[in-house]
Amino acid sequence: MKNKETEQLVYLAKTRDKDAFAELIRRNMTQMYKVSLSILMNDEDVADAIQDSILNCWEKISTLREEKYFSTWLIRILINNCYAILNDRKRYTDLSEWEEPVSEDEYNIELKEAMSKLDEKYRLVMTLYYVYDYKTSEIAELAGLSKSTVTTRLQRGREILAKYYGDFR
Amino acid sequence: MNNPNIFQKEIIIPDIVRTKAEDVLANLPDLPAATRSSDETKRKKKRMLIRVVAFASAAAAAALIFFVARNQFARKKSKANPFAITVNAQEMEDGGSLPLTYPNDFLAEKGISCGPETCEFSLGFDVQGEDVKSVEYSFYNSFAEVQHKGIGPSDNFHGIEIKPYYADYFEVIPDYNPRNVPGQRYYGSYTINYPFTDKKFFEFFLVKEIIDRPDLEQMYYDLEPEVLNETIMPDGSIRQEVMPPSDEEIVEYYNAIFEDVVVTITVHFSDGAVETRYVGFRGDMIEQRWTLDDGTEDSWLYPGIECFFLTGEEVKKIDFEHPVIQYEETKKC
Repeated sequence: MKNKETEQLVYLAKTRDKDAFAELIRRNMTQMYKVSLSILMNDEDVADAIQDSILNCWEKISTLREEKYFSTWLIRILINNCYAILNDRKRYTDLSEWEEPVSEDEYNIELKEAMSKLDEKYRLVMTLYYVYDYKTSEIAELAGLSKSTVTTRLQRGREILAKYYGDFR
Repeated sequence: MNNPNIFQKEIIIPDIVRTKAEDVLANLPDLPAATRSSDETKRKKKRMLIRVVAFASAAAAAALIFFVARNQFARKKSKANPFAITVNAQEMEDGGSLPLTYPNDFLAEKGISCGPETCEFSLGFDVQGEDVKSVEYSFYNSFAEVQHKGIGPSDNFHGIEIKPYYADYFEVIPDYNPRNVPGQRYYGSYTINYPFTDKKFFEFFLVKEIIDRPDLEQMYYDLEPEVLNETIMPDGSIRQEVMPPSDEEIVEYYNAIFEDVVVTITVHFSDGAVETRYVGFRGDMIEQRWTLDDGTEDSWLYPGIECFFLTGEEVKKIDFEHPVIQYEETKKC
């Protein structure tokens, strides 16, 4: 039912219904936040990535072929925007001195602390797996990785977190 | 803290994130709604092409797909060299540049993949361990007229974006439904780069629209999907149920229009060395069938790709065996 509702919203958004589009974005906001945080680890950059992605999606939603893939499409765009920001950040930073910032933002300390234990490559697949419930094959496609790489990173990510937090399944 | 479900915990969207998101949602620009050109009829017609794109994406093939939209202002075309491409990869990690030019003697008459409105082929070049930060490309017709230029990363054209992934990894993100805008010759491009362990590899898929070929035009119109039924939706839009052309018809059409496309590559290394590289194609289509989660069966056609480097150091093969392609180390090109 929820899927049908979402597809209807996407259909309306494609006809340039701003309210429908805004509702779609709001429904996906938590997931968007977690995914972009897993890559950027910084709320300010996350805000920029989400803002860019919303605009990108609005501009291109008429080209989305199948309504049911909206969420995947949105996340794909978001991931790419996150990497663009990450790349810009690296471009203007001496890599030898660059260290992954540990966020001092006041929000979601627990989640950020867990994420900070993981390298970016593990964070993204872990987030897509645990937040979005994507299958490994879907994560592979979204992140441009092989399925075996995704599986390995999930396994490795679990091991790392288990070291800090005990059992992690 | 001992929480295995940390990723699933309720979280608070920070004010800065929520405010920015709401701000952009409150100020969405007015844009035209989707037109009939993207309706179901077009969707059906483009089915195979889109699936080829999806295939390329899933394969993480280093691919650049240029879709050449229908030329509404038909020009006479040379049979010798109707289409060529120049790629300049620049901003190397070491500050050098890597201009890549495709010589004119490379005939890409094989390896054609098919779609109702376009044809495509693939080729690639190897920059062997160079760290490429951006790729500049242009392609032109037989009149040496540059028809499109772009610079990646962060380039946009016809809704296509080129984004850097990592320092040596580029991706051109396709529109999920590349638009076929009348009067615009190109309507999409796509690039992915294999993150090879020992070298960088770029592969191109070029899709070409027919230009000034009445015989092919007729074939094209013969491929028009048959409208089985038309429904007016509550919002006034029209949904059509159509019967798309058969894959065989599409393959025949595309093989016919692809025969005289020309693409060549020369690699200029940052140290001044110049090398010409060629990649071959397998001239057939592979049909892959699979069962969806809901139990229904689906299929798509994708081009067989076989690439090799004439410089002799590498002859490898991509052999895709599943539609949701997973890049396998043992099968890299």
